[in-house]
Amino acid sequence: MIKGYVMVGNTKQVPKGEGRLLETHGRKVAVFHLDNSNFIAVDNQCPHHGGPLADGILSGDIVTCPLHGLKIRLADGKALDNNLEIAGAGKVHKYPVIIENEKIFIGL
Amino acid sequence: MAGIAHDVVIIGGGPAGFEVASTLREINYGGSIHIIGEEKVFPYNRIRIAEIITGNIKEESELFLKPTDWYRKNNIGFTGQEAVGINTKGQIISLDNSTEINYRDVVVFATGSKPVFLPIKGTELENVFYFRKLEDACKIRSKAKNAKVCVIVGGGLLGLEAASAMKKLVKQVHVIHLADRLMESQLDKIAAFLLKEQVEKQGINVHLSNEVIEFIGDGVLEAVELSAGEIIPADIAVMAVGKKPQIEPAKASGIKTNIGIIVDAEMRTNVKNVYAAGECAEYEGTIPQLLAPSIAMARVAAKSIAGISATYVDKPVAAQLKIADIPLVVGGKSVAEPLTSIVKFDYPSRIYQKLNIEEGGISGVILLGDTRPASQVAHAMTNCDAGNNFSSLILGSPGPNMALSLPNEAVICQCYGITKGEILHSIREHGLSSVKDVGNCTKAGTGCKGCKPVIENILKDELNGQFETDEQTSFPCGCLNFTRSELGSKAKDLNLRSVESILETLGNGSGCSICKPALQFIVSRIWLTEYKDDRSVRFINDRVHANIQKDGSFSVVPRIYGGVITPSELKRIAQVSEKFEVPLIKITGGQRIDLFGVAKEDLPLIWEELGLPSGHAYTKAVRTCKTCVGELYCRYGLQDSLNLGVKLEKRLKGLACPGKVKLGVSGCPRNCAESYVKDIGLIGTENGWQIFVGGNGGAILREANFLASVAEETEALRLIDRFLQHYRENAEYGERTSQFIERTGIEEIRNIVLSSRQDGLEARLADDIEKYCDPWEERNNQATPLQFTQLGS
Repeated sequence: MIKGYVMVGNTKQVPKGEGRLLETHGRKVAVFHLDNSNFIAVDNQCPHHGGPLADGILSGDIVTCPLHGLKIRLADGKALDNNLEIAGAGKVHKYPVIIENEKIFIGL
Repeated sequence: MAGIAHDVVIIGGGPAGFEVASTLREINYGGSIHIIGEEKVFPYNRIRIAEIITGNIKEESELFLKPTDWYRKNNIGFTGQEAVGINTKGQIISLDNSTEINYRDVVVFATGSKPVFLPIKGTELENVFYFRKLEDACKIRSKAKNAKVCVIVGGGLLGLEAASAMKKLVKQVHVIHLADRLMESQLDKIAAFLLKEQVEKQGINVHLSNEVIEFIGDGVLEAVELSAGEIIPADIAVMAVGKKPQIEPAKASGIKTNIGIIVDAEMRTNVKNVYAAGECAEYEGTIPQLLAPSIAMARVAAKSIAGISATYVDKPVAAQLKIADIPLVVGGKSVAEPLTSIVKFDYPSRIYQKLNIEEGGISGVILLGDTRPASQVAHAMTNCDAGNNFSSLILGSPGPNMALSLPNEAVICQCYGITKGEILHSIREHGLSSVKDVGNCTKAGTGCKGCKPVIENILKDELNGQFETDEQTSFPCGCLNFTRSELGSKAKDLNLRSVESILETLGNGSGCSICKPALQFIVSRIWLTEYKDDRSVRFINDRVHANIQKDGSFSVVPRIYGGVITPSELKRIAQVSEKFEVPLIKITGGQRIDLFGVAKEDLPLIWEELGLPSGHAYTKAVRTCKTCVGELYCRYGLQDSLNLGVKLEKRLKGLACPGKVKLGVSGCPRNCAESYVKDIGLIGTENGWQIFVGGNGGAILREANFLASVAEETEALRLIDRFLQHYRENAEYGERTSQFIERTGIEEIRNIVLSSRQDGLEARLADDIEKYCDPWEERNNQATPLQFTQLGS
């Protein structure tokens, strides 16, 4: 066990290039498996209209919300417009992720 | 002190001054020509200076109308100074650096316009700019890099151009406009409303009925105070409130002026050997507002100078305006409200088109959102030869090939007045093969660029499709810089069999949500089954085979062939809905039953208990076949539409296509199954079946084209197979049959589909039908881990 982190599954459960939803401790978290093999976890709710980000198309570290196409940069959780940040469009919370022995741990 | 003398001296280095000089050379005027340009740069394309702000154009020289050596080759001199006045008796022009230039024959005023001066407090502050000249754009660009909030004064054409350019650089842009609507001198209320909506959608804040009363700051701009009391903190301001003719040097020289310099139809002023042309010139009380009439004036002036008879006629013209990437064409008395006008207003598509009709001709035009009829409207405006059939110009459905029906005299490029005949001549004479070449050779399409699609069609037709596209890339997202056909052939040559490998080799590596699904479609079409089926590039609907709803739940539509269902199926649907507490059950427009509000993890369970295959109400594939009951029960039915519909749907169900495909079969011409607005529609007749294709009942309504009449059901099925497979193999990703037909033309499709050639279309379709499997089978055989569930479940 890593202090402050929760084991949420193993790396094989999130296919590369996709996201999966995690519901834990009353939160909805989207866990993404990036093409570069990194894992990133953010709040599942799109800041625009609450769309499920885990269901979005992932490109590099940008996820596109499936409802209305808002783009979120996972590196910092910011909403983008043509790779420019949209002022006031909000931002999603990011959770720290640790991968150990093919297990995914998320700091909540 | 007498200066150097030239035969013709042109005061003003704008488009009109340049046009006088270049026309003089074109008509072989032999004397010396000299241009005096106040801006100190060679004549450039003013319409595009906003692109300097955005950085789309990096070098000033990219905007030059001609490269600098052109002036040397054509013996045209250039002095970058301001002319302050002329002595018309001694034929001497005084410059602001106290030197003089003499003219032997003629002087032409082409001094253009100057920005309207605003008596606002604080215009002298740093970071407050006017927007008119190239150097203004350069200054704005250098300051905009570090700015966060920009205030644009003026919601006219210039102001909106500046606003959309600034929006690309700074976070917040405010447009302050005195009138109660944007572009009030060009747009009526509806058009201005739509434009405002679109501009705001791009994140630009519009403040109407408002003016700036003070630029606030201590040496440097800090905020802008509005008449309504609001204070907007801002670090850059651009004044773009309009222009007025620059008449000062002419007025100071005793030449007759009013609003502009008064000229006759040959562009002569009241003083001998003194001409004027362009935005500084006033003919019969009118000042040219657009590029086209300025150019026309300049040409008349050049001819008059060379002794060739020419007269200027002030004709209404339509011009493509460049505002925030919104297609807009405006011309003539567009704001007027005459007794007759023809209007098309399609709010969902944000299309507004209006023709004002006066004295049997078009007196004004607005085309917003869809400018395709522009060339024909412009032709009808100048020639009044459309008879009384003006309504067909906007109410008909303009195909891409409409330019081909225009006569050779029709003006295609309104800015430079280039006719279709001249374009054709240049293509034939010089062997041109791209829109760019045509522009270099004739200037057509180099002004506002609105006619480029028309020139492209003329080229395509003339060269039988063997033309070179320029600047067109495959996807609007810009992740790949290839046309779709280039992509296809490169992927094939380089053996690229996955979206990932195409993006890595030919694109930016990561791609985006726009190009990835399209690329998957392209690889699947090239490699058939021999490609990597990458689930991660699919939209969520295609990963879980259901339609995502606004709350993140999904809708489930089982396949009900032809809309025909049994009592036991109905019972099962009812039982399943109760068991899973489906919040909403709705009968769809395609005669199906839609279960709304289903959680993703319940999808496989519901499919299992329904025991019905997928109805594909979520993807680009063959969807439903709507039927009427037909001769089975109907008193009027002529054919068994219900059974043919069921047969058709059983055969084609779920086949992946470039766009969704909806079918309809009606048993008689009363058309209860709405066959005329289906991608493929059938109508039963006394003698057999009529087949229609390319209809669309959605946002862009389109009546289907007649394909063929057949006596036998088997023949109908065969032709439908051929049409569907031709569409599947040749349409672009996302292109519906209606758009595919608009693009390629029904004649070509008819030739292919009705041909008896052994082209293998039916066999290839049969192959795919053979391979088809119900995606809902993935409930027992998941394609990816946790395909329908979540982590920890």
